[in-house]
Amino acid sequence: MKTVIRHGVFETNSSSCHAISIGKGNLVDLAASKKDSIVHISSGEFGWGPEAFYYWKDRASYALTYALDEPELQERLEKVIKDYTQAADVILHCHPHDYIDHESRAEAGDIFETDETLRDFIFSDNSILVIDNDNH
Amino acid sequence: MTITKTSYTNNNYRVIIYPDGTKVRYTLKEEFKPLFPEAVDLKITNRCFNNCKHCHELSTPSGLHALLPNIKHLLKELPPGVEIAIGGGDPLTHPLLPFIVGYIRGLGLIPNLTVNALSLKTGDELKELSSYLGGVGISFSPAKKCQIEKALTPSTVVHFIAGLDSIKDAYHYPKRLILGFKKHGRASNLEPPLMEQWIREIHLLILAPGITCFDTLALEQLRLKDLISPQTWASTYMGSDGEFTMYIDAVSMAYGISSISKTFPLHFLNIREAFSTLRSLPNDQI
Repeated sequence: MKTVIRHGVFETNSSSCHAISIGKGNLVDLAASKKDSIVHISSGEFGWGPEAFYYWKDRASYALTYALDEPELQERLEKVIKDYTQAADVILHCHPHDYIDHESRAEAGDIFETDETLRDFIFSDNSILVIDNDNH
Repeated sequence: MTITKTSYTNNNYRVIIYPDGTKVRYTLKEEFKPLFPEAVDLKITNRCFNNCKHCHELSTPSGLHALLPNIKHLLKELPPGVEIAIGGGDPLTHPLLPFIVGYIRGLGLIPNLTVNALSLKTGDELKELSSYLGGVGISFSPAKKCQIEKALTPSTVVHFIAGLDSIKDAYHYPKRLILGFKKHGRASNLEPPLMEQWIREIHLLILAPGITCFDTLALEQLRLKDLISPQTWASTYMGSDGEFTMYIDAVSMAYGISSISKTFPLHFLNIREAFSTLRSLPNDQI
């Protein structure tokens, strides 16, 4: 799979194209989280898309949704977020009806392989979550 | 009437565009193979009263405007979601600009507009139009800081020319596009006086709050490949001119990979055919 992303701007160049658009993105968000000292993550509905998530909290929400029935994974998720953000506390909000589309669920498990893969999935500036289907 | 989230398929890949302009391109294949351009740089006029000494377009006060039927004919082949970067000349001089923007929106395409700050007398010129536009690009001028401030919206990108404008001014704007210095047109004999400073300080600008964008020429002139990690490069490099984008001069009905490249007459080609032709040409012919 190959993905590229242009951050936060439309194409306004009148002589060529925006080749690269980069921002502090996640770092700015993380600073805000630190300030509040408490990070809230909620589970969500991740259907068959197509949709792409480039915000770290969306990816954390995806990880939480995968871990809904697995308290051990939730503990790991909480620890990884806490370690990375240095937040005073991390509160996970689990909603039992949230889900990940069944066809993506097996692949989603890979992000919990190690704490490092989980951390990179959520926080790396290069990480992006894309959900899609084969109906097009 | 802001832009809503939109997505489309372009041969073997998908594109999603978010209301803030964020664009995601992805495929399950090895590489992207577009059948039509994701963005068209559309020149709608060659008229401009600013007489910039570095103008690579050679625009003049007596420059001609593109005809509306020609613009309509060109754009009707494109699917919703494709971006149209309207430029000139000074596009604000085109008497039918609101109709052009309206037509583009009506097709489901995303109209973006680039103007030179020198064309802004009060900063209110874009007020009515901006709600119909995706992004607005304003070419920076130190003499027009107040007007730029007034015209700023969340989707405004301020354009700076590397080596020519002061890099310090770029910090003031949350979204800035850094353009390479084009030694074309009236600038063919000019040397950018501040290029060394830009090369020395560009990493500080990238680290400043906000979003910094570059065109391909700026990437090369500012030696950004040395500064950006290979991973970030791989996930943010949107391609070179002509790879996913193209240039259309609707005044002279010509096309090319960009406004500073060789152009070819459109004759009876539609935009998809012209794009396909560009992609099939060897590098030394474009």
